[in-house]
Parts: sequence; C-alpha cells; structure tokens
Amino acid sequence: MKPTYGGVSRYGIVALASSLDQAGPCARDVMDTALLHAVIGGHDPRDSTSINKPVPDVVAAALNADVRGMKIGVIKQLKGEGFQAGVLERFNQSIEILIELGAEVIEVSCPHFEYALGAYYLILPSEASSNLARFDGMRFGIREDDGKNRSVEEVMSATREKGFGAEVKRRIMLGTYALSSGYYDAYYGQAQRIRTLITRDFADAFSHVDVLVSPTAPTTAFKIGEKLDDPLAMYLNDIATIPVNLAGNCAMSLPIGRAPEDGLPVGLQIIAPPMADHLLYQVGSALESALADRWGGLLISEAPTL
Amino acid sequence: MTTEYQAVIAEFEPIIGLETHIELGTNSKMFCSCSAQFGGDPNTHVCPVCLGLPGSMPVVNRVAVESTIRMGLALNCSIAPWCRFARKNYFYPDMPKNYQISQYDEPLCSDGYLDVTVPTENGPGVFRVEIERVHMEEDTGKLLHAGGSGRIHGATHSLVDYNRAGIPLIEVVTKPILGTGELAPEIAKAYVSELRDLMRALGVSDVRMEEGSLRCDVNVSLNRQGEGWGTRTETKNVNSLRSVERAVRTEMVRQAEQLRLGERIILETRHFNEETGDTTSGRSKEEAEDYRYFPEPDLVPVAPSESWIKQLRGTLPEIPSVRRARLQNDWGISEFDMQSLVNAGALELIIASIDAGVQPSAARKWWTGELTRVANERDCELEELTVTPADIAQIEGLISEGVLTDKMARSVFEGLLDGEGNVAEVIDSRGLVVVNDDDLLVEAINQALSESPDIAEKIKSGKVAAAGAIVGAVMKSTKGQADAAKVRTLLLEQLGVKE
Ligand SMILES: [Zn+2]
Repeated sequence: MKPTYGGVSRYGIVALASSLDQAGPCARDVMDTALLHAVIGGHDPRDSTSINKPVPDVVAAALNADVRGMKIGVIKQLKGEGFQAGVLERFNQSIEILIELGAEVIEVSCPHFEYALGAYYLILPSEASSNLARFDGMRFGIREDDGKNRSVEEVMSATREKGFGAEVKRRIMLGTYALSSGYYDAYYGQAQRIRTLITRDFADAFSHVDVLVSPTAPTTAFKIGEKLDDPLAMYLNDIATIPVNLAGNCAMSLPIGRAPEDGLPVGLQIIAPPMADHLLYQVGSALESALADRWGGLLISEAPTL
Repeated sequence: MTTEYQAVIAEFEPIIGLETHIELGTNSKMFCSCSAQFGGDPNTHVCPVCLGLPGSMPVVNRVAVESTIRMGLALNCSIAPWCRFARKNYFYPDMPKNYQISQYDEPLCSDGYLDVTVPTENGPGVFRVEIERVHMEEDTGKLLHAGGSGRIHGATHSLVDYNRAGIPLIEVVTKPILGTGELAPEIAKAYVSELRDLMRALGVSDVRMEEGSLRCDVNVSLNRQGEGWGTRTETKNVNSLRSVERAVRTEMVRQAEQLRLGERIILETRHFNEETGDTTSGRSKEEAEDYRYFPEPDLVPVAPSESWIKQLRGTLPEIPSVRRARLQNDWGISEFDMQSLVNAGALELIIASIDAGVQPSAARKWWTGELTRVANERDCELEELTVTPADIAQIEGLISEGVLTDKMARSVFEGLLDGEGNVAEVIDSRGLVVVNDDDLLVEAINQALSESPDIAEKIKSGKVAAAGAIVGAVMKSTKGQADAAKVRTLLLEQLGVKE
C-alpha cells in the first residue's frame, strides 16, 4: 500500500527522494493492511509535508467490500506492449470479476504516462544525490580513514566509495549531473513539467471514474541481480507504479494469482485520488474475497516456506 | 583623503555591491527548536535536525519568516505571495547535511531600497541604495583548526561546533551601486550602518557585530569613465563598519594599480585582513562552484497571506532616518552635528545613555567628545570601548550628588577605559572622593587665607572676583578632591562677604 503523499509522516525515515518517498503498510491481507494504515497515518508537525487532515476511515472501507455501482477505469497505456502475457491474463480475469461484482469498467487514457519513467529517473536521482550527501563519514556511520593524515575530501571520498553500492552510486552521479547548472532546465526542470502533466492526466481520469486499475508490474519478478547490467530494463519494471509516485496520489497492489508461464505471482494495482485511500481498501477487499472464494484461500498460503 | 585615492577617483568610476548576512535574534533556530543563543559549550545547542542526522526533517521557524518580511517591508521591498526554499549543495564539514537550506531564485522579498545619508562637500546628502533581494537561510557550524597555527594551513585536525548550525540568517543583497564616485567607501559604510540600525529598530536582531552576527561581502569593480563595467572582486566576511569602508577603499586602490599596469582583474573572492586593511587573493570564481540548487522538497512553500503582510506592516516602528530627524529637532542640534555623531557611531549609545537617565546634552558631550577621541586614538568603534551608557548614567549621577567633580569624573573614565573595573572599583582604587567635610574645608580655606593676607583683604573690601585665587589654592591643597563651588561659598561665608 502506498498512501497519499503526506498521509504518513516521513520523520525518522532515511530519505531517498523526499518528494517521492512515502511509507506505507504491507500485510498479509487487506484488513491487516488497513489496521496498520490507521495506526501509522495522520499529521506529524515534524514533517512539514505531512497533510493536516484526518486519515480516511480505511478500516471501515475494508469492511465495506462492495463495488456495486462503482466506476473503475483501466489505463490504456498500462496494458499493451511490454506486458507479459500471463500478467495480462490474470489482470483481465480480475477485471471480469470486478464486473461480475457490479462495477462499471471503462477504459481511460493517460497520454503523458509514457514520459513518466524518464521524469522519475531524473527527479529521484537528483533528490537522492542531495539527501545522501550527509553520508560522508564525518559525524556517523562508517568512516574510511587510514590514519595517514588524509584531508577531509579524501576521507569523505573514500568513505562514500566504500559505503555505497553500484546502483546508489549510479543514481548519485545521474542526479548530480541533472542538477548541474546549464543542465538543470533541460533535465530537472523538464522532469517537473512532466510531473505536472501526469498529475493532470490523473485529475482528468478521476473526473470520469472512482478508481483506476492496471497490472502492478509489466512482468513477474526477475531474479535478484539479473538486470544489474541493464538498468534500463530494470527501471522499466516500475513503469506502472511510477506515475502514482510522481503525482502523489495513493495506490494499492493486490496479489491476483500466478502467471501460467512461470508460476510467479502477479499484482493488480488500484489507484485513487489524493486522500481517497479508503476507496482502495473498499475495492481491494471486494476483489480479495472474490479471489479467495475461487482459490479456497488467500494466494499467500501458496507461498513457499523458507 | 589620500592623494593616492584621489588619483584613483580621477581616473576610474567604482561600482560596488554589498551582500550582508545578519543573524536573526529568534529564540530558536531556523528549522528546529534548539536555542539560537550565541555561545554555549560546543555542540550543546544541537538536535537530530541541525546535526543533519538521517531521517530528521526541517520545520520552518515562523518568527524568522515574520522577521524577514518585516525587514523586507522596512526596505520597501515587494513580498512574494509564494516562494520556496532551495538546497545549496556542497561538501564541507561545517555543514551537517552537506547542503544549506537557503533561497535561490524565489526570494521572499525583492526590489526595494534604503536611503543612506553621507557627508558631502555641501553638507549631508541622501543616497538611495537599491535592494535586489532579502532572503532567509540557515547558518553553518564553526570549524576550529587545531594544531599548527590555528589556521587551516598546517593544522593537524579540525574540530566542529554545530551550535551555530541552523541559526536563522537574513541575507540582504544590493543591486550594483552606481554613481557613488569618490563616496563609494562612505556609502558602503553608511549603508551597512543604516541596515544594522534598521534591524535593531525592528527588533529582529540586536546585531552584535563583535560576535560576528553581521558579515558583509563587498563587491568592487572599477571602470574608466565611459567604458563598460569592470571585472569585480568579492571581498568576503568583512565584519565591522570601519572594515567595510576600508575594504572598499583598499580594493579600489589595488584594482587601480593593476589596471594601470595593463593587467586584468581576476573574478575572485578575496580575504580582508582586519589588521592591515589589505585584501588578499582567495578562491578564483572564473570556474564558478556549481551549487546544484533545487527547490527544498522537505519543506512546503512559504505563502504569506495579504492579511498577514498587512498586519506585519502595521508593526513597523519609526524607521531610523525619521527617528534621527525627530531627535535632531528634540535636541536642537544641526543636521551636520547629527550626521557627525551618527558617523562616529555614537547615536545609539547616546540614546541608550539618555534612556539610562543622562541629560541629552551631557550624553552627547561624553560620547562625541572624550570617548570619540579615545576611540579614534585606539582605532576602534565606540561600542567596543569598555564604557557603557549605564556607566555614564552612574557617573553623571555621582557628579550631581556632589560625590565626584568633573575632573574626577574624567579620571573615572580613564580608569574604565583602561579596564580597571567598574565605576565603584575605579573610584575606590584611584581614591576619588570629594572632600565634603566642612570642617576640613574651612581649615584649608583659613590656611590659604593666612598664606595670602593681601588677597583676603581684597575680598573683604568687596572685590569678590579675587576669591578665585583662594579657591584655586584650596583645590590644590585638597588634590582636586573638593567641590570648587562649595569652597567658594564657604570662603565668602568665612569672610562675611556677600556676592
Ligand atoms: Zn537543532
């Protein structure tokens, strides 16, 4: 579950990208997630970006597993090329269930989503390059100092070289470059404009439907480390979830079965407008109980024991 | 004015610009609730936020925003209806997060002006300094270089005190100041002085210059008449009014020398040496450091409502120039006299002395006379002297009670200025007590009369003016510790003569 940006305090969480970071609950079923959400959500005076409004009643929404008369939009841009067949099969099946449960499903277009990945991978590294600057070995954490009367710059540099992994360094370098004078407008500035357009796409869509749905990811999980040498392929896996992060609204990913070709789990993403987190729990718990009826239990019961 | 400086002015036009950082006098820091008090044991005014610990987040100090808006209004600026903080990124150990939260292209206040008064050939003249922007930012920590000479060069290690990290700063930036001619150094000084007085009048900072709470970066360039603007240099961290004036002057002379030799001026930062008054080359700015500014994502925009701004406008006090005009009138002094006591840095001290109970004329007499002379002799600011307005009130009180004579009062000042302690201690250690015992005085008078019987006769015969000689003799025999007026009264009484 990714609550609305500002719905849960970020105070105490190590920041990666401040304008995108949002803590959210993760649990075995929709109700547990709602209970956790109700506890961690709400305004925090120590986080200026946290929203000073009551948390939507997510627990009541999870109890109200009813989608009759609800309008659900399928995002046209998040179900075509690049999406694994088994993922789409499970997704379409869930759409049919939602229709059977009484929801009205229509297709909506979000034309600027195709630029989301590019914008995200400029904004995230830019903010990360600044947020991670404090990890320099001066005040806390590891410190690489061989005692040979090194300068501050040498100790900072050696500490950061040792402490950060390859992917983090890649993002710090990308972000440092994107914020450099002379490039700022072309990269960071442009990315922020795209962010605005994506937020507008969502606003347009939500003027027609209550919630939006899409597969959570275009493919099932790849192996750990498999795509490290091909970061672009790895980043593409986030294509469906990134627009939500950029716009700051809320979304939930729900397990909807396994892809026939590899037997790995598939997720369905439900997206709602900012501060309408309760709608996600309402739709999520309706779909969850319909699927559990078919399977004779929750999908997580099929997870291999470790 | 030196002939050297006159030669510079004959050949070149100066353009100056001033960036002034002033610490605001808020109770707490800019983005956390730590104390913003000066001093304290190192690293005692700190918390996760101002130490930049992972997971901590800034929250804007409302009073700091309020102070900045009031300053902007007093400087005739427009106040942005919506603006953001920005991160200024660079690695340096005095900066806990390795970025400073500042404002970049969206300052809270912009496009104002400040009128300053400077002495000209035709008496005091008003010069308008245009203000580019006023914005808020946080201060950095303080590095102490240990081992070696205490300077960064040759130090074996450095210590950091983060007490100052996160103290709210206001930065006031002027537009390029054109058309100053030979008055450039005086205008620079008058501007900073006026800015300081304005901050104090607004109550947003008490501007303790000796604690480094006002720091000025001085930009100077020269061009020959009719040519385009010259390359500027930026002399950093000039910390007193006198230094601002000197930094402009010495940098003008230095640049003129370079230009006359056909050398180009390098765009660079320079350091000001308080002792010699010289500037020395610092970091070249030709390859400008890239601070990778971007909007601070941990803070929401500052959007002061019109009603709030209006309310703050209502809290603006009498501005210093208006106040000066009023005081000049109250005290019945000329504009010239007013201007010279302002230039001597005496105005606030005189006002403080009056507030402490001293008569206005006496307060002016002490600060613009004896004390200004000592300050000039010692090459320091009046407020750096070890005499306070409270001391003057105390001494004046003792004079009117007849405990001290004028002459003895001067001796007390000497003692205070030489650091001999407070007023009571100086009086005690210097044995300054008026001989007030009538019997002792009468005895001294009779002694003097017996030594000069001819004068005694003269007085008796009605030539009262002759009494002065006897009074002088008594003052001499009591080592000046008698009240001359009282001696005279007793003398006439003794001889049965009436005035
Ligand atoms: Zn603090």
